[in-house]
Amino acid sequence: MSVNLTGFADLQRRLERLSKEEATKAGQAANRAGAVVVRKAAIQEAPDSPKTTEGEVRTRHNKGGSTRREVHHKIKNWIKVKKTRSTSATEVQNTVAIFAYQSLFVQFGSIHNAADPFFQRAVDNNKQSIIEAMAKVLNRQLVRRGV
Amino acid sequence: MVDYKLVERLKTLCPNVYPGAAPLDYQRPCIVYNRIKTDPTRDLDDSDDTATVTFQIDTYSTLQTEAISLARSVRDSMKAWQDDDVQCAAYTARQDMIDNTTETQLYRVMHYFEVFTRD
Repeated sequence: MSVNLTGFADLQRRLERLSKEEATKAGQAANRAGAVVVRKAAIQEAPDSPKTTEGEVRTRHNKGGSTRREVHHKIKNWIKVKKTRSTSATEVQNTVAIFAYQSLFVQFGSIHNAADPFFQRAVDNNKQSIIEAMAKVLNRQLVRRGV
Repeated sequence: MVDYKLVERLKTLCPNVYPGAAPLDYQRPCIVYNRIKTDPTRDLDDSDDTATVTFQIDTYSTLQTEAISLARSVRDSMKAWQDDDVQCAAYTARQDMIDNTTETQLYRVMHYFEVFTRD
């Protein structure tokens, strides 16, 4: 697997002509565009069992003998892009998050079921597309800002 | 195939080795392995019979110390793996989890390895 990266020197020159705030905004938008590609690919790769429906209420039995009712969320419907704060002042960050508890046991497997690393496949098979999406949006953002 | 050799190797560390997932009557502690990915080597003559194979190898136990200690032996054994078919095995990641899908809570250590091998 390989990805092609070019034009960093030119990019650095263009970014240096912007204020830190404007450069961060442009970078954030570009980073989000990459995250959106990951999200779409993950939705394609996520399991979609015809036996389950979004929003169905299920009764779970706890180990202590009590029961609880849960709303079932299909993984592919709950893959979202979240803007998150980076711990570094020189980085922008977005997170592709899955708000479905069972996705953990699909991605990594459990003692009872084999791993199906759908999210890893989504990233691995789309590395070039992710970079291209970020480059396209970053260029557009910079042109809009006159650099 | 590399999978058979992997099982042989893991069985020297723990008798309970399962591919994919454990059966219902599994024994603890145990090792469960999954072939996550196979990247065939490609050159100008197309692909040869070698590949980089990614394995996820999980160790399970009711005792955290036992799961960690078994995982460490797996890691050491994999890192030392070199034979006629396997050129090298690189340890790439570790993640610890609790598997609460069973009646008895299990500690789980997941290790990832990339094995460059004849496949």
